[in-house]
Amino acid sequence: MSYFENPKDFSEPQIARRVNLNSGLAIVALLVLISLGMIFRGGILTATVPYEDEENGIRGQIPLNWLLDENQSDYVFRVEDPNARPFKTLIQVSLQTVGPDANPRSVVDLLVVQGPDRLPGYHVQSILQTNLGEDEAVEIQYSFIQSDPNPFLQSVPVVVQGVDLVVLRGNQAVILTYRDAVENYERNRPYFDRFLQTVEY
Amino acid sequence: MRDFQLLAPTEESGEPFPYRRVWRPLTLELGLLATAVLFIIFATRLGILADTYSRPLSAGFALLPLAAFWFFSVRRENRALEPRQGLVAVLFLSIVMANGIAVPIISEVFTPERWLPGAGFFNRILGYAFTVGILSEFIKYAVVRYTMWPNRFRIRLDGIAYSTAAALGFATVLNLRLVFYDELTLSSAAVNILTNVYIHIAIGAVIGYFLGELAIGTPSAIWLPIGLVSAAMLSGIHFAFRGIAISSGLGSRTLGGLFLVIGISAAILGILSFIIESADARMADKLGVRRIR
Repeated sequence: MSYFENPKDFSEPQIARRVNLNSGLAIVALLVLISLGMIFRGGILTATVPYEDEENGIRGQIPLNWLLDENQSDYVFRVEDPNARPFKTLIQVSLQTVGPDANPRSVVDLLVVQGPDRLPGYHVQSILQTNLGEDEAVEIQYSFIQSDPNPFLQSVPVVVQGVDLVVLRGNQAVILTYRDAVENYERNRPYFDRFLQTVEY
Repeated sequence: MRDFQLLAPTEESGEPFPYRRVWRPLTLELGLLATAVLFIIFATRLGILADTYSRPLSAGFALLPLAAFWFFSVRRENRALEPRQGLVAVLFLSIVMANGIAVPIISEVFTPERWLPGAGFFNRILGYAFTVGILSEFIKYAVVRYTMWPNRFRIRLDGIAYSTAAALGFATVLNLRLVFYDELTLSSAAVNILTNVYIHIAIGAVIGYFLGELAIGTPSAIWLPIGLVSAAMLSGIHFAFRGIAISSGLGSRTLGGLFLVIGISAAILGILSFIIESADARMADKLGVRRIR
């Protein structure tokens, strides 16, 4: 041999077995690592932190790393996904005082009437009777148009889909809201569903 | 009385090295790209070039590594006594695999932009390594392993030559998508293109080293898995540190990421060069053959 040439004979059984083992284990490593990665991804995406508002009696698990905004006049709190595009995925809880003979449906009717004044292009898609835990609830699905108020950003308006879930608590209606861009609505809905599973009011 | 042993003078060989050199052309390709990026950065900062989105200029820049690869590697390969066959085929196969498999899985399934940027440092390393990192490195590995390996592997450096071709194909897909979908300014596109090329070539070379050693040496049965996991972890580490370098800045945000990737790539390639050189020297001693360098 005057220079390096591959001295290995890959048809030798011992070498062939080692090569096959290496190749097989490389595929196993790929599958194991990607499985771990997906578990890890799921863990981070579904990670939550406890939220508690003693004054208004609201408690629940909200998504980790979302931006929390509270103590506003028209809602108890709202959390938004800061990385979401084109609309920041939103979960919000608000309270509304109601009369002694009110029911969830009457609150929903009020929301439907107020909707066009609060949200441009407001359009109700469905109203459903449902339950939240053991409580009766009414769910209203709607859509509206979100435009950026800054005209210099020259952004295209976004079609947003939302859901308001109304339950009664004494003389208050608790309104649980989820909103997202229509193309991300179904994908991010589990965030809201997980919040509903943990919310106490 | 002490015994002294005389060192034999190095024997000059008249026989030429039959294969194309690998490290020098690779250094020239990477150096050319770095020079072009620095030119663009300074030209845009001095106002010679407008730092706006320019699809033709950015696309041309994304294809510059391919041109450098053809000029310094493919063209010289054909002049070698024992040319490596199939370098361009590996490059194109890698482009097809990256665009057809890696990119859809990363953008539709892994969606790293949804969960990794907000994660902590170690979570970013593991999260990136176990998703994007391992998939990218496995594709480069598979392209070389199931085409050129082991029949075209005659020396350890063949692993580096083929895997860097595969890595360049992979990086080119990412760069063209960056140019056509992300609409970055010229300087930002240039820095991102360099980052993709450098880190994919450096980590691809790790895969190449492990494939070369499996072809030439006598490693254990878990050699390739170790190589894949190491490569994936390196890409995770780069991703995590890049986040720090860009957000904290080493003088400026853009240049922080640029210096980081150049440093990491130089370290990886330097270490690999040393390891391969040592392994070749040990093997020559063991077999009692004369090395032609």
